[in-house]
Amino acid sequence: MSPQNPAGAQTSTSVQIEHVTKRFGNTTAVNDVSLNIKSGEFMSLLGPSGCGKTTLLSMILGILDVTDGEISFNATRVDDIPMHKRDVGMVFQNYALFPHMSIRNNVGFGLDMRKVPKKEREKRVEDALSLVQLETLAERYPKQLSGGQQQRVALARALVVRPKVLLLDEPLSNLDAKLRKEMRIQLKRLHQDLGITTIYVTHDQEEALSLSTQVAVMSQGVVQQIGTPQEIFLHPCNQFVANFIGYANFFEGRLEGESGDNFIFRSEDGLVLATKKDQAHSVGDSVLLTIKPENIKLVEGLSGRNSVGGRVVVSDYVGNTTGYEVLSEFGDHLKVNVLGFESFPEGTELTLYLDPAHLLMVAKE
Amino acid sequence: MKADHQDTGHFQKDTLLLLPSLLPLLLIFLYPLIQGILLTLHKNGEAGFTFYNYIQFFTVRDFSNTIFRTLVLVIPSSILEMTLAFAMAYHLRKPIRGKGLLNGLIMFPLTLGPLIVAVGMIDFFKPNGWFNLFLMHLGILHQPAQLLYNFWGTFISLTILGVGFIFSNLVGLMDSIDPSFEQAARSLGANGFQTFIRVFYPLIRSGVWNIFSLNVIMQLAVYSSAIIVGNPASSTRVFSVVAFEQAMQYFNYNMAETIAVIMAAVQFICLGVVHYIRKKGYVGSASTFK
Amino acid sequence: MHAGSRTVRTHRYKWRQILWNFLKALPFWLLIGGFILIILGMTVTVFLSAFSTHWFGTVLPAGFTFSWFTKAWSEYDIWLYFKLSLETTFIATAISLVLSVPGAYVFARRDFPLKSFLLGFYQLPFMLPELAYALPVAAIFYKLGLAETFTGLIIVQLLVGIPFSMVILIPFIEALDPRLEIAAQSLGADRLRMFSRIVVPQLIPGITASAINIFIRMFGAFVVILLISGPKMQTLNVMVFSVLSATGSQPQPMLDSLTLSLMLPLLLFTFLSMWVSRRLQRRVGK
Ligand SMILES: Nc1ncnc2c1ncn2[C@@H]1O[C@H](COP(=O)(O)OP(=O)(O)OP(=O)(O)O)[C@@H](O)[C@H]1O
Ligand SMILES: [Mg+2]
Repeated sequence: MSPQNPAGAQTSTSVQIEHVTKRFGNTTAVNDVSLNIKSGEFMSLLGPSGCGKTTLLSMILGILDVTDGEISFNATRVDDIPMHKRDVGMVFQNYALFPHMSIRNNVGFGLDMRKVPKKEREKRVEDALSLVQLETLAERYPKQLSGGQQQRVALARALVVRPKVLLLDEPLSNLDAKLRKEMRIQLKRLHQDLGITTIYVTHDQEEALSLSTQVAVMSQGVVQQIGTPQEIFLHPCNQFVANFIGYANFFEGRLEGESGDNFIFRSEDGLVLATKKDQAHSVGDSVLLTIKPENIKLVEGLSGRNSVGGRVVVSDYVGNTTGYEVLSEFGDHLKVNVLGFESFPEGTELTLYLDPAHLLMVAKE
Repeated sequence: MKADHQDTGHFQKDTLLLLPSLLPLLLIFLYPLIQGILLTLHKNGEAGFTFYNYIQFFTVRDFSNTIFRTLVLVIPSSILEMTLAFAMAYHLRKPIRGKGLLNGLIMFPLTLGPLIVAVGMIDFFKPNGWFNLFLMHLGILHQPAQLLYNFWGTFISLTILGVGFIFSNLVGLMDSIDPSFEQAARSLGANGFQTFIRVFYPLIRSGVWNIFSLNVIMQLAVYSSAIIVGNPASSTRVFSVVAFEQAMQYFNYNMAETIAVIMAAVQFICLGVVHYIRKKGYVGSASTFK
Repeated sequence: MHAGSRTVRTHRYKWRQILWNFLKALPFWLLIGGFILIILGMTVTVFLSAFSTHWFGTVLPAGFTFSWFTKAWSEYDIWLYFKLSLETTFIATAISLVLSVPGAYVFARRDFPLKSFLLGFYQLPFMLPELAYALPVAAIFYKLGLAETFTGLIIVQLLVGIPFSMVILIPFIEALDPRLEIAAQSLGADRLRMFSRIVVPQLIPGITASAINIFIRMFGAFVVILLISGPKMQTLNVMVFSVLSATGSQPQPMLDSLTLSLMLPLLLFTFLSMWVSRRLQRRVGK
C-alpha cells in the first residue's frame, strides 16, 4: 500500500481474465475471453462497435456479473466481490462527473468513501489535480469545464483513490481530433509515470497502437489476436485483424512454387506475385495475400515482376496523400494510397508495384 | 435560428400566432379570475365595496375551520404518498420483467379519476367488503375497520390517487438520471446507501420537491372524494365542500369565491414552505452533458 | 485444493448475497404488491357488484345478472349523457389543438420579450385552484345565458384543453429538427407552406398522442362542468356524481353500473393511448 509515485498508485497488480463469457438473453456479448494482463501493462481492447469491449470492462469493474469464467487480480478472484470493494478506477465514456459537486469534491469523493482523514484528503486531491494540471479549476463545477478538462477531472477522480487497475472506456472519443492527440500524449506520460495497470477501450487503431504495450483485437465477443502493437501491426493473424488495422487489399489463391527467398503466388484470377517466405507456409498451401494501400507503389514503364497494370476508377485527393481505387487487369479493385501532391484523374492507365516485402500471408476468416 | 429572426417584421408576424390560443384564455380564464377577485369584495347582492366576506370567513367557525381540516387531510397524506411512491419508483428502476405492467397498474387510479376510485373504495373497503373480510380472515382484525364515510375514507382515496400521480412523475424523473453517475460512485467505493445519499438523491431532489408541490396543489382542491367517501358534514368539510355549498345551495357566489381565493392563498403559503425547504441543494439538469 | 476452497467461498458468498438481496427487496415487493392488490380489488369489485343479484358479506356475489346494468342505462338515460360527453369532449379537443398548435410553434422556435412570463400564464390554470376561476366563469355564463347549453359546455372544456395542449405540444415541437424548416425555406417555401407542409406533417404523430391524452383529461373534467351544467346538459361524470352524492337513494349495484359506464370509455381510451404511443415509439425506433 505504500505510495510509489506521484498519485501513489500501486504498481503490482496483474489481471487475469479466464474464459469469461457474458450473455444477455440470447446474445453473447463476450464469448470465452481469456486475457492475461501483467502488472504495469497498458492493454488496449480494440474492435469495431458492438464487439463487447464495454461489456468486458463492465465485468472487470463489477457493473455486470460474469455469466461464466473468472476474473482475478494478482491471482485472487474478484468477480464475486461487490463493485465498491474492488478498487478499480474507471473513466467513463461520458465522464459521469457528478454535476452537483465542485471539481474538488468530485475528485475527493472516492477518498470520502474511504474515510481518508481531512488533511490527507486535501493533499491527495491537490496532488491529483496537479497531476492533470487542473489545480486552478478546483472550485468550478463540471458544467463550467471544456470537454478535455472534464476528461482530465475524470482521470484525476479515478486515480486519486490509488486503484489497483485503471479502466478507460473510449475516454477520448468525445474530443476533437487535435485535443484527442494532446490527451493521448498526456495519457501516455501519466502511464509512464505511474505505471498503473491500465485497460483501455477504443475503436481507434491509431490510439491503441500508440499508447499500448499490449493490444487485444476483438470481434463479436471473441478475442482475435493479442500482442504488442508491433506484432499486431506487422503480423495480423487473420483477415479480420488485418482488415481492421488497415490492410485493405486481399488476394485469394495458392502458393505455386518458390524462387530463392520468395514463394510464387497465383491468385484465382491469375495474378502472379512473389512474396517473402515464412516458416508457417509451404508450397501448395491456399493462402490469403494482403497489402496495405500505402505500400502499393506507382511505377512508370512496363510491368516487371510483381507489377500489375490498371486504370484509376476513383481518385480521392486529401491533402498530401491521394487515395485511388484502381481496377487491375485481372479484375481486382485495388486500394492505393500515394504520398505527394500529384494526382492522376479517373481513367488514367497506371502500373502498380506490390513489394514482396510488404505482402503478407494471413489465415482466412 | 434565433439570430435571423431579429428583424421586427418577422418578429411581429410570428408573435401573432399566439393570439388564437391566448385570446380565448384571456376571455375565459383571466377575465373571470379578475371578476372573481372583485366578487369577493362585495356582499352577496349588494354593490358596496367591503371586506365583509373575508371577515365572515375568519370569524365564522364553520368557514375558518376548513383551513385546518383541509391541511390535516392533505399534508399527512401527501407525505405518505411521496414516501410510498418514491419507494416503489426507486425499486422499479431496475430492469425487471413485467415492469411496464406494474408501472401501468400503479398509475391506473390516475386514469380512473377520483369519482371511480371513490365508488371502487365503497365496494372494496365496506365493512363486509373484500378488504375487511381478508384482514379478519387473517386474524389481523377482529371487527371490520370503519374506513368509509369518515376522515379515513377521504384520506385513503387521496392516497391512492396521489401515489399514482407522484409515481408517474417520479418514473420519468428517475429515468432521466444517467446510470453512469451511480456506477461511477460505486466504482469509487461508495456502497448502495452512500450512492443514494450523496449522488442519486441530490440529482433528483429539486424534481422531487416540484412533484410534491404539484401534488399538494391538486389535493388541496379535494372535493368529490370528500363528499362520496368522506363525511362532508364534519371531518372532511374541506374548502371545496363549503365553497360548492355556498355557490350551489345558497347561490352566494361572493362567499364561494372568497373561500376559493383563501384556498389559493393557503396553497401559495404551502408552496412557499416547500420552496424554502428545497432551496438548499443542487438545482439543475441531471443528465450527462458534453 | 486451491481451486476447491475458492469455489466454496464463492458459493457461500453467493448464498448470502441472494438471501440479503431478497430480504432487502421484500418490503418493496410487499408495498408494490399490496398497492396493486388494492387497486385491482377495487376495480374488480365494481365489475362484480354491477352484475350481481345480491352481494352481502360473502366473498363472491350470490348470483349474476345484467338487469342492474340495463336498468341503469334506461332509467338514467346514460346513452344521452354518454353521447353528450363524447361530443363536447371531441369538439373541444379538436378546437384546443387547432388553437394551440401555432402558439406552441412560436414558443418552441422563437424568442420574444415576456416569453417566460407568457409561458407561466399558460400554466397558471394548473397552479391555481380550479374553483377560483370556475366560480366566476359560472356566474358570468349564467348571466350571458351560456350556462346549461351545449356551446357553454364546449367553451368551458377549453379552460383545460388549451393550456394542456400547449404544455404537451411545446416539447414535441422543440424536438423537431429545425434544420428541416430552414431547408424548406431555403428551397423557396413561404412561411405558411413551410408550416403546413413541413411542421404539421411531422407533428401528426405527436398530435395524435396528445389528442388522446387531452381527451382523457377533459373526459374527467369536473369542477367547472358541475357548476354550469343543468339537469339535462351535463356530462356523464357530473351526472354520476350527482347520483352518488345523494347517498342511500340507490342500491349499490345500480351505482356500480353507473360507475362502470364511466369507467369503460376511460379504459378504452387509455389502451388506445398506450397502443398509439407504443406504435409511435417503434416508428421513432426507440
Ligand atoms: N444490457 C444489455 N442487454 C442486452 N444486450 C446488450 C446489453 N449491453 C450490451 N449488449 C449487447 O452486447 C454487445 C456488445 O456491447 P458493448 O457495449 O460491449 O459493445 P462495445 O464494443 O462497447 O461497442 P461500442 O464501441 O459501440 O461502445 C452488443 O451487441 C450489444 O447490443
Ligand atoms: Mg462501448
